[in-house]
Amino acid sequence: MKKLMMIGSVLSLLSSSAFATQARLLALGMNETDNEGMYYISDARNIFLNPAYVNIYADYAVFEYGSSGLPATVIAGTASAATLNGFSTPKAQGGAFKRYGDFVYGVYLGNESNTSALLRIAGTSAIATFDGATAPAGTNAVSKMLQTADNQVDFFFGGDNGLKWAVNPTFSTGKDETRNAKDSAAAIRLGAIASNWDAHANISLRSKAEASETIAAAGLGVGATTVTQEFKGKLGLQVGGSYALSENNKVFGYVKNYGWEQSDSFTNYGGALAALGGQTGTVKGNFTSYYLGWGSDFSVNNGDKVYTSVGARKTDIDLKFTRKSEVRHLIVPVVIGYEAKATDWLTLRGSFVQNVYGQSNNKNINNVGATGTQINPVGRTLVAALYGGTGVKTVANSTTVNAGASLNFGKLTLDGLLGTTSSAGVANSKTGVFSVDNLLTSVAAVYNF
Amino acid sequence: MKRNVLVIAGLAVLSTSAHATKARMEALGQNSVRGSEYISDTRNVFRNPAVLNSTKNYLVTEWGSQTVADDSTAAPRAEGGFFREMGSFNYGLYLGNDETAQGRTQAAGTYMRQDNALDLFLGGDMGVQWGARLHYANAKDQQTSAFEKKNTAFGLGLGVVIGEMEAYTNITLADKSTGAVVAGDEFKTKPSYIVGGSYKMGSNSLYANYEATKVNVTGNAGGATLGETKTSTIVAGWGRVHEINPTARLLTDASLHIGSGQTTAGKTKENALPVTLGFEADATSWLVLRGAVQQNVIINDEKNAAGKKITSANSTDVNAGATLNFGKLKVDGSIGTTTSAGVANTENGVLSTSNLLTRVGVNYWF
Repeated sequence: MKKLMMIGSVLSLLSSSAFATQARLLALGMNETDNEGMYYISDARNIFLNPAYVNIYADYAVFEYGSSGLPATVIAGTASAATLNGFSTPKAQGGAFKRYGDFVYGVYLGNESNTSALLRIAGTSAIATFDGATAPAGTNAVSKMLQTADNQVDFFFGGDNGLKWAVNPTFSTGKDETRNAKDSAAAIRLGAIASNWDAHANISLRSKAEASETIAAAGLGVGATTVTQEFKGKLGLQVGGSYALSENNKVFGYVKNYGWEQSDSFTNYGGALAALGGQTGTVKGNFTSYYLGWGSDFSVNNGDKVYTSVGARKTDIDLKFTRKSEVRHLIVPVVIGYEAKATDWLTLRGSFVQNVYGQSNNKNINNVGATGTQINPVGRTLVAALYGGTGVKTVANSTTVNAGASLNFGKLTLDGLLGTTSSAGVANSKTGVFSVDNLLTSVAAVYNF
Repeated sequence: MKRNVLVIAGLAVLSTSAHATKARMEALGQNSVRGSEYISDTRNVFRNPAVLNSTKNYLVTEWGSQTVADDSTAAPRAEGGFFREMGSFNYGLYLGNDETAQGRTQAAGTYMRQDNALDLFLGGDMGVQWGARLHYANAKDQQTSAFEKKNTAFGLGLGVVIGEMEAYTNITLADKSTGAVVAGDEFKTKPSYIVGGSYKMGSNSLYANYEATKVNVTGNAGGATLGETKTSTIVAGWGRVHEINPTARLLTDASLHIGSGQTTAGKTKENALPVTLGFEADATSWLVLRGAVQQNVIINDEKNAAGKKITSANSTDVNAGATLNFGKLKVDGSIGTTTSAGVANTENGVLSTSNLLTRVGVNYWF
């Protein structure tokens, strides 16, 4: 309490600011794999959904504090991946945007795609994930996963001549010659915003990761073997937009589709290794997601806002192994959120979200066995965590409550999430504690100039 | 409660700070030991001692442990100094400045590294601002092992500031450790140096430096690389300090780093183009906040002694810091370096009031 009073006394300068962070949208109920923004809440973060938002929010720099790792990293000795850039596991990133006459330009560093990381991890050779395994149970000693995108750079350029438009090319490359591994990714986002509609096309031009290296797993009876593996993305597309039915009502939606081919040169997946998963040769994969929704906001109490939305998101993933893996995941989340200026220097926000319908009907995701899934163990754990395991299941425990705050220091704003730690300070364990010790998590700073 | 009221009352005496700590440099993506090539900071005296002529009359203490391990963000070493003008000259004394360890860890079976280091500064302004720094460290241990462990180091820094131009050199004249595993082992730094300069054009600065080091280890490796190790690095960059208003600035830099190394195992190379975007603003009259995002862009690879290249992974880094201004007293520190459970040096975006500032440095100006 004392600390809170001190902080409160401290924040003596004031003004509202352009909102621009993942923390704000997460507190208001954003639930996108790549935290790319929301159609019905205006925020500078929406540039990763529709780059034309650079015309609305310019002349600022944003710094998202977090770890400097990859979006997903295999935890040594396990079949699990630690993921970043999710709720309470932020990834360091940031950028700056400047208006120049009728144009706006900007650069953003470190916004790697979680979806891309998920697909490359799922596309990794099964035997490569067991490299170094010394026990038949096959806990992974050193998983030699395909590289995921790293050190990504996004450039933005937009203009406003009645119609707001922008382009956002993005690329990343990496290599590790000790593994004969390399990866590259390139994409371009195109967007437009008119008076009562907006539209965008986010095009994945290239996503490729490959490695050729020696794999050995004594515990599985696999001697030193050269394994060549590759993930090669096809042209991917996310097309979407929104239409304003009235001043405060929008319908919105998108379609995402990414196809890829993954290949694995390891030839001994049968026999004693049949339960490992994996398949020799080339396997095709496909990720499709549809989202259709309605969102609204209305002002209350002189400028505070209440947001509501309902939508349906269907995600289909196919991995065409001999025993085909399928994700069929459908949720209908309802989101109700608020944002209120508690004082001149403090903005509070929060939301509650629940799927009024949620069901997964998946095949061969995490059913391990000789006739089970062929997805590698790290990939199957990750996919099951996001979209559920094998079989038909209601998406359980979908009710979530999120909260956040902005501390306004004039042109400088600190955003963050509230209540994400336990009373003992354990991260990402919402137990209804407002901890002054960990005042904000997923903190981001925005400076408007 | 009373204490907090006192703190707040204390924070009512105000001014923009003259900045001077490692925490500030790190929050802005700069070198914490030598300071910045283009951002004004008193830490820059370790790059160019002539800067002493424009940053003087203060005392700085960097909080940390007494360990002789390397200074780092996670485990800062205690150090501090005192800088003062005297007529037309300026002088300074700095204790505990951490010079490079070059593989010496101070663990059992390794070479003794520099300890209880002392840096003396002298500068003057005769139209041309000049400065010099003498670095000295000496230590020995005849008690822990059956043989004597010893280290002696001398260094010299020289610099000038002529209008908008700066030039400097820092030379390791000697840095010799003997006795790692047995008597007669030797770790010897041959003359090593960094030479560089910068030129300011309004808010923009161009800078470049060249650094070469050479170490020879004979007898037992003692934790270091046996034989001769040479490194050389060329840095050429551009930096910009964009003053938005008297209380806020944006900081941008891009620099090309071309590095190479030579050990008995072979030759290594390292190339990078780090880009930094940062800000520093007076949030209130008593609080300065700063931060930066940095990432290697386009050029970003290392080649090992076997000739294999690898991209330097996870180079995106965001740092933050703050200065609490109590009039002549400034308390600098880093923000967001601990987890919610208080684990140090784990950046995961937590604003913890329990560990409000880390790597704290305090300046008192007089």
